[in-house]
Amino acid sequence: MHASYSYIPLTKVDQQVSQESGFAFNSPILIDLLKSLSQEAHHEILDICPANQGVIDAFSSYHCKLYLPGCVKALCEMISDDDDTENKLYRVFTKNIGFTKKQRASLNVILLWDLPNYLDKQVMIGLIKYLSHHMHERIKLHFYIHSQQQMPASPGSYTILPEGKVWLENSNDTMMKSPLYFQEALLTLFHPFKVKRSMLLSSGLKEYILEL
Amino acid sequence: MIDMKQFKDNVSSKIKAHHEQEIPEAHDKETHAVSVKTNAMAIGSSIHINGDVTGNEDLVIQGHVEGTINLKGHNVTISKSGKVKANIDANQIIVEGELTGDMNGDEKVVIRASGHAYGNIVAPRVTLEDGAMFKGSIEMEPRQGQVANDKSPANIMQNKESTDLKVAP
Repeated sequence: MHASYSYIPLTKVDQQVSQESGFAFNSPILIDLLKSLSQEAHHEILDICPANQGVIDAFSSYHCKLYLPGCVKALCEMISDDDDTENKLYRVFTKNIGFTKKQRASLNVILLWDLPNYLDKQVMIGLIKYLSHHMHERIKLHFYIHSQQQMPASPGSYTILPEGKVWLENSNDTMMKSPLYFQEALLTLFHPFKVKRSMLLSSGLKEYILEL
Repeated sequence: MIDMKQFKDNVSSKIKAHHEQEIPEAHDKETHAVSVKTNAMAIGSSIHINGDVTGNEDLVIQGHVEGTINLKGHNVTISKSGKVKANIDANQIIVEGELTGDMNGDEKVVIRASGHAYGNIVAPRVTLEDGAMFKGSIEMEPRQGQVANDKSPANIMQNKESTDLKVAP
């Protein structure tokens, strides 16, 4: 939360409603991203989180193909000293959503939610490298980074609510040390992407959107 | 190729009896009312089919089917006990059991809480209940009049955002 950002202005969003095992929060960058999508054009969207109705509904008014590989667990289990990471990524995406070297997608949007906090750095780099074969030149990457010392021990479940907020649910009460990525470190993970916009949310998450 | 009418003639009495027992449980929810019609054909839980299924009536699958299912204009329901490895082309496809294959629903595809579906969906409407498992892709075309309607998050947020945002000091 107190990270020194040299060139990206931060904005605070102050509305947060606590409820049961999760909470709703404003995610202005994500909502702006949805607003920016053309109603006429065809979009290809990859949501890395398990499939849920909120995300389906959010994109249902667009001409789009929504890829839902549901591979968070498989990705989190991958480790950097595994020489086979590239092949494992290939197998996960081929098996779950039919990505192959010949059958390439042209992704406009990738929703990573809070996954970058949990992936091994080399796996994250490998994931971006792998997905680069399936990206449209105007691709946008969206994700959240934990800005506090501690974060939930497993990735949360995110869904887009009809009223334009994001619902975060995390059934795991256990906490772990967060990687506390600074912007420079993030850009190393997401090379060659650049930060288009970032925002500090009152929940302690930093919302990012990157583009090439 | 398995023709539904011929298949029905052979096993109708046994299957119909089985199916009628299943219907009350399926009437709880609104969407079931459409999917499980009393005149729907059923493939019983002990039946395994390998091949192509075609026909002109609704189908409820309680058993195992491998191949293709082409029931254009009709509804296909895979019950909790149903296990299907097939591409399905139908009006409505409702998955309560297990399905591996592509789903082409002219009206909608519904994956219930108990459902596990792996494949690609092409349908104007897709419903994924809480607890449902789905891996694959969904290709959606907005319904007429839905484009830029009031329910779009983009439109909802248009006015809200100005009050929610504060510039950090």
